[in-house]
Amino acid sequence: MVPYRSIVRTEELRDAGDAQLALAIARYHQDALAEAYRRHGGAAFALATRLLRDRALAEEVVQEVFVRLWNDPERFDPDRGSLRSYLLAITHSRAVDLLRAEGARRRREERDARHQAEAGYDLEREVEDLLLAEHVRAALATLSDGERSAIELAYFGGYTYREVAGLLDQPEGTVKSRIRTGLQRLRHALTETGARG
Amino acid sequence: MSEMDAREELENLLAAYALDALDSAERVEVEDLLNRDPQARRAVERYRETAALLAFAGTDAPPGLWDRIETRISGTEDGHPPTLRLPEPAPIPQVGAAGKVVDLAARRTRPARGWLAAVAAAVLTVTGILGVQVWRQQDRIDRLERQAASLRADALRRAATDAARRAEARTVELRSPDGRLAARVVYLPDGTGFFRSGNLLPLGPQRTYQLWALVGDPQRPTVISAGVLGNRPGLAPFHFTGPVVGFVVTEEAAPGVVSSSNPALLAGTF
Repeated sequence: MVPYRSIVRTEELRDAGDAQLALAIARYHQDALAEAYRRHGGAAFALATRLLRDRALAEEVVQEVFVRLWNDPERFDPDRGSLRSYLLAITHSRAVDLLRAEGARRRREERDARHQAEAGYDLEREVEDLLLAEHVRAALATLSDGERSAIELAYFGGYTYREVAGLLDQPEGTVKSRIRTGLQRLRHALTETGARG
Repeated sequence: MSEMDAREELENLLAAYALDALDSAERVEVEDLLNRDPQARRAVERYRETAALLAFAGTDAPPGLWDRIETRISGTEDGHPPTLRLPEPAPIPQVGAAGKVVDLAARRTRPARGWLAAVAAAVLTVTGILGVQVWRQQDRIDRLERQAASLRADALRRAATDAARRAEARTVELRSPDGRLAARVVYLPDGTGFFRSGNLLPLGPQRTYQLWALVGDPQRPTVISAGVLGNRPGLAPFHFTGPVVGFVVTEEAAPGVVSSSNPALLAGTF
């Protein structure tokens, strides 16, 4: 255990847990925020880029996420989840808000059309570079096609479940249910393989 | 809709919410529920943890992005106010040989009343805002410290429990001479130990309990300090290496002593 007062040195911050980092950030130690960024900035940027398909917008989102952590670290509760999960959730939420703004949506759809025409994509492709790729791939294999498509479009596409239902030509209730069962199945599979989730 | 269907529908909504896949009206409804229902909050957090794994990419953020974040939080960006820090105590003006007495009356000009009132109002406003801000900053630090303390306490309890379960752990009961006070020490071969008090009374702020290891010959042990336990000992970790045969607890003046002639409050040998 690293007592708070000893974690202001950068090298020791590297061993600090989420709660200690948040506490140091609340004490305005920029090194603590830098450590949080070092650990999670890349993942936040990758997620924002994946959703927005625009590096400049993704950078803005990531900037906003970490400034928010700096200004309101108490919003993160280490009893309720990891710092990574918290940061990625607000990254996702902010990126989706931007996507749903009319202009951004139109631009993205144009880019999406080009992107799909060039490469096409599926959920496995999106997680190729994941640190836990093997575990995640194995877990994804346990999902039905319907569950995978629903999660993919909702999470990586930034669509509401109603929009997903329209895109997949499925009833809204079915899509909602598939998102839930898919996430539960993923969690179960990831827990079984020893990955977090 | 049956209760089970309703519960399933709610779970569906929570999962979709965790992926930001609700429209704004449903989102507001779910957020209202989350404010009232800790179970629902936990469900959303579980779904988000799972989604975060999908999002986890081992890529680097673009160069220069951190610099921009740092600029923002340092408050040096144009138009962005500096972030409020908890105030340092103001230096007290020194009056002495180097000090000069200045006739303030001679330097003072009569300010216009309106100007003075405006300045006074501005000062009061700023003071009020700063007061609220400082209070909020302190409040958030207090809450985070409580959370961290709670996590530390949990981790300590788990470590003590794990240690007690280990086959090589040695446990000794410490008792007062009249048998009314008790504590327990779990001690591992690597010198790690955990002291858990049973019913030691809290001491005043200037006093502390101190743990001593009995080392060497059980008949004539050497007594060496193994750590200070504080004035309200509950569960405390310590580290002491040597041929320990038992432990003793004394009451001492804070912050503890190198050697003691006080009587043992508790004692026990393996």
